[in-house]
Amino acid sequence: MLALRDVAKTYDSGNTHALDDVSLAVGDGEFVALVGPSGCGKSTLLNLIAGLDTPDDGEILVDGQALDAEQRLARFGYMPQEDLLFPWRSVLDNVSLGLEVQGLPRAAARERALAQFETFGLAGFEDRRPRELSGGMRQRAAFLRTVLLDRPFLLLDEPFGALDAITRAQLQTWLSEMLAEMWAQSRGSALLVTHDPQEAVTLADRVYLMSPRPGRITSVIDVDLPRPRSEAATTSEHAHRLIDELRRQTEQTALAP
Amino acid sequence: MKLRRADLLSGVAAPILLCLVVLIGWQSYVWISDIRPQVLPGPIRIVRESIESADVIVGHVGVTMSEVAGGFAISICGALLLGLLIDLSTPLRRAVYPLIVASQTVPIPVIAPLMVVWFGFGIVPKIIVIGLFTFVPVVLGFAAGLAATERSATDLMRTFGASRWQLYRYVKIPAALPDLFTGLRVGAIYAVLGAIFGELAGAVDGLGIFMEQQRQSFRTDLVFGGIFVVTALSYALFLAVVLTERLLTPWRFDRREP
Repeated sequence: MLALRDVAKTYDSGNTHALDDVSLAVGDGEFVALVGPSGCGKSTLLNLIAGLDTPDDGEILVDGQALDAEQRLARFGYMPQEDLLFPWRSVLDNVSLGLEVQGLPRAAARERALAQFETFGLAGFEDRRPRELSGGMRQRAAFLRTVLLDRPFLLLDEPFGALDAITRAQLQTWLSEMLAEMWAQSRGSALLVTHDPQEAVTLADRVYLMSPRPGRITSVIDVDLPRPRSEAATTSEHAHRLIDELRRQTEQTALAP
Repeated sequence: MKLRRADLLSGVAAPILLCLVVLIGWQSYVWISDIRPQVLPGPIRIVRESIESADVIVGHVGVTMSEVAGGFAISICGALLLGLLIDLSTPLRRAVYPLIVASQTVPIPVIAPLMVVWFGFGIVPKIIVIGLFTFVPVVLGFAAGLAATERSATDLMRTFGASRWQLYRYVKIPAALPDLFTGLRVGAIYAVLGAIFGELAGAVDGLGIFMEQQRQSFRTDLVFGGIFVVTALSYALFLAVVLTERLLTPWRFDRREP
């Protein structure tokens, strides 16, 4: 369970208000999305939660305890927008890098990663270089690298932002199914940052809307679509109403002075 | 690491062809103008006379190349160490950078004889002069490569719980290798030249001494022979660096498509 209380962050010695009074909560087993126009500070917020940065004000609580940045770094599975697969490592060595860094011997780390290659649709590409993979495969490899750390709370920063529309839609469905399967075995939660209302409605149980300068939560929308999210559910009239509502509100906040 | 035929043609054949054109032009001029060989010998005479003196030249090559090996190796080790330290400490970088730049403005022919006064006729002054020629490109290349690591990559490693050493080992150093090798290639080009400058300031043997002796006895053909050998050695060193680069950074050269 993650809770933010009145989190604020400024840059340029207080001149740029990146975030102001942000409060939100993500319960166990919940998938929450954070939607806002670019520059609204949603990635900054995710970095704060991940422990990559420290808020100027407010608290970040994990399971009821206020944790400092150092402690938070070890708590979340963090997946950035770029795949960040390193060209000097094979796909398998990239995927197992997190485990290797955490002290697992290389052979054991590779073995643990390899066991998941089939499930993640990467079988046969173990010894390839990352650039030999398609964009969608690279993102799946990056997701596997995150999941292998065995941290039940995932922070996803526009993970499909750089993909074309078709691959993006495929990966959304894929991620939704993967998480349903993973969370059926052991409970997890996720916070997704995206600028795409469609993506938020496809994946999330609840959507927080953010406005820019300063970044603030302006509204919360529950996505009461059945799970697992079939294509019928995500393209239903109700889903479209939710998407339209989110889009309308996002445009409003983006245009507000 | 397969070379395609077109690459082979433009990469190897073109420079050899241009070399031949220059040599033929040079030899023709020498024949037509009937210029004295003390002033300008033709390439044929240079090669013939150099082969005649091959024994002597090879001895000097051995001396010069051992200076190059020692000097370049020490210079590289120092540059790698300083490059790392510069990347670790911003105050150190600010303090050292102007000195690095300044070291390239030292007029080496002027300072080299002083080094002989300080350190004698042995290998030490040669190593220092080779260092003056090669240290800066290597340290600047390495430091630039280390500094170019993207923030997002560093962030990812932090979420893995990576220590500073792990960040360098897994990300920063491999990412810096291409820039490091750019510096090493420049260094390799100048390393032999550095040894020659060091020898000219004071030495008993080595290619610099050989060429100077031949110049004083008006054996211009052997002076040119020495120059050819210096060029060939520099080129060999350069190619050795390029080869090492291919071995150590294979991901930049194997091109398999998805």
